[in-house]
Parts: sequence; structure tokens; C-alpha cells
Amino acid sequence: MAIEMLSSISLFCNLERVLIGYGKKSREISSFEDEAQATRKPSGKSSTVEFEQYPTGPHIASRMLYMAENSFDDVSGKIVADFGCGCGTLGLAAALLGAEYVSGIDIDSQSLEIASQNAEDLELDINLIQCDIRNLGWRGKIVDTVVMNPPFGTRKKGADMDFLFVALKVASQAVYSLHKTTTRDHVKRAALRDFNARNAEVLCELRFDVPQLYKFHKKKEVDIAVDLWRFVP
Amino acid sequence: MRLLTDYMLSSNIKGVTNGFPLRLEVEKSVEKEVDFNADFLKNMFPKIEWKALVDAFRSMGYTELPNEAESPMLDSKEFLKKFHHALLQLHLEEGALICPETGRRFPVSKGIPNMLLHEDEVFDEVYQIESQF
Repeated sequence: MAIEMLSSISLFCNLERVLIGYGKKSREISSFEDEAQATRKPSGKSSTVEFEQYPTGPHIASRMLYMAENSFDDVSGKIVADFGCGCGTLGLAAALLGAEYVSGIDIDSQSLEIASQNAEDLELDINLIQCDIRNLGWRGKIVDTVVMNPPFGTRKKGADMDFLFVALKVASQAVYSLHKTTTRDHVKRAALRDFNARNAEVLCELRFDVPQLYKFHKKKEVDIAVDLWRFVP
Repeated sequence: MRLLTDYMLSSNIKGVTNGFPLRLEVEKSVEKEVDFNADFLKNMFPKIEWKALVDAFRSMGYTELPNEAESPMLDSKEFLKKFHHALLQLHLEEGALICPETGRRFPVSKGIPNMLLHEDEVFDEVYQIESQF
């Protein structure tokens, strides 16, 4: 039992270490452009303020995926989809933990290029799709687990709930997601009552460091309390 | 783009009732080796419509698999290896996915399919896409 725990902990630390290492590189290739240059449409040409692109930090990513695998067996050997994958952090973490097939879906071609490069650097396989999650055409319940760090809906209201709605349609076993702690009751109600989830559970509360990425950010860095959720469709 | 990914996607244009299977238009394809996992393939088999998959394989030029398949065939390692190859090792690098109803082309570039819709192809509310699933 002690040995199992130790190897679990070292797996977790290794996962974090790998993600931190690659995370440093992915930050350099910045998709965080000046607001003045932002376009309004998801043309796929340049990143936009509208998409609320914030990288998922390695500590959050490893926590989410590690719990999904260690507590719920939702990763290893499974088909996993990363919704709004961005640079691919969550999807690649899933691959590192033994997911058999990982799909990464994002609206922005620049992010997808970075994700592709990151996968190559880590010698991992990720199957990328360019799509707006809200218009995703999907077939059946082949995907086991959906992992995501959705836009919180500060720019486009309710964006994270749109993501959750689609995620619960696509996943056959579980959905892991991050939502602001301040929206906890609303998320639970929407998931159970409106989206017919069988279960909605906050696994833990995390702090999400949002660095000053855009000009409209007034502070240098801001801490947001987020809930890590597990939903069962 | 692997064929398993192609299998998961459907045309998401508003008004389309039967958005799959998406037909493949192949300009450039490659083969990339991945580890063989028999259990994974055996789990996948009952979840998929074989005929749709075979059409995709054929479009990629792979003719080694039969039109019909039954679960006893999963006992054959030879069959599993071919299934593995077609589902996971064939990649569409350049080409397109075609909506079966409208003929609309979704381009595939550098192995990534672009399923972004134009404004007139989109529902107003995400909840209207209930029928897509």
C-alpha cells in the first residue's frame, strides 16, 4: 500500500514536472496579443480577446488528470477529448497518464499549431480538430472522458455552460471541468436540472493564477478561486 | 487526421439531419506507426458502424478489410492488426471531409480538419443542436 502510494506520488510529480517543462516553452510562443490587434470573428487567423485564452497551469492540469486517473480510472486506456484544448495541456497530460486516444478541439488555428508542436516535442499523439465547441457535430458516445478548462464567460457570457452542455452530450463516462467558485450553485443546478447529468461533484477548490495577459487586465496578476468538477452524464 | 477521428465527426451545418459519415477526399495521406492494443480495438468494435468505417478505409486506399465484420473475427490477430492499421495508423494529411447531405467541404490541412462554420450555417443558440447528437 505504501509502495503504491509512493509510486502514485512520483507519477504525479513527474506529470507536473513534464507539464511545467513544456509549459515554459508554450508560454514563449505567445498567443496573447495586444487588444488593439484583436479581431472580432473566430476566423482562426489571430488569437482574440473574445476567446479568453488562458493557459491551463501545469499544477491544475496535473491535479485534474491525476485525480481523474487515480480516483476514478477515467484516463488510462480511455478515449479522452480536451475541449478548448489551446496549447494542448490537458490532452497531453491525459496522454502522459496512458489515455489510449486523445482528441484536442479548439477554435483557434494558432493554438492548434502550438498544440501540435508540443505533442511532437513530448513524443505524444494528440488528434486535433479545429471547431467551435458550440457547433460541434459529433457522433455517438465513443469518447469516454471529456477534460476541459472552458472560457469562464467573462467576455462572452455563459461560454463555460455552453461547453458543459456539449461535453455532457459527448462523454459517456465523465466530464472534468473548471468553473469559478462563485458560480458553484449555478453550475450544479444547470448540470443536474437542465443538462440531465446524473452526478455533479466538486472534487476540490483550486486557485488559478491569471497573469496580466491582456491590456484590459488592470492588475499584474490575479488569483481566481476555481472548482474542479466531475460530472457524470 | 486518423480515421477514428473522422468517424467521430459529423457535419454540423444547421438543418442537416444526417451529417455522417463524412466522405473523405484524399490529397495526401501518410502512415504513422502506433502501438498495437488488442483490448482497445476489441472495445471499440461494438461501438462503431462497420460499414461506415470500411468506406473511409477504402477512400484512403486500404482494401484489406471486409465489407462486413462480426465479433468472432476479433479472435484473429491478423484481422485485429489490419483493423489497427486502418483505424489508427492511416492519416489524412491534406484533403477534405465532405458533408453527405450538402456536399460542403471541410478542409483538412496538416492533418487537422477545419470544422468551423460560416455565419449562415450556424444555429443561434447552442441548445438547438440537440439533434446533432
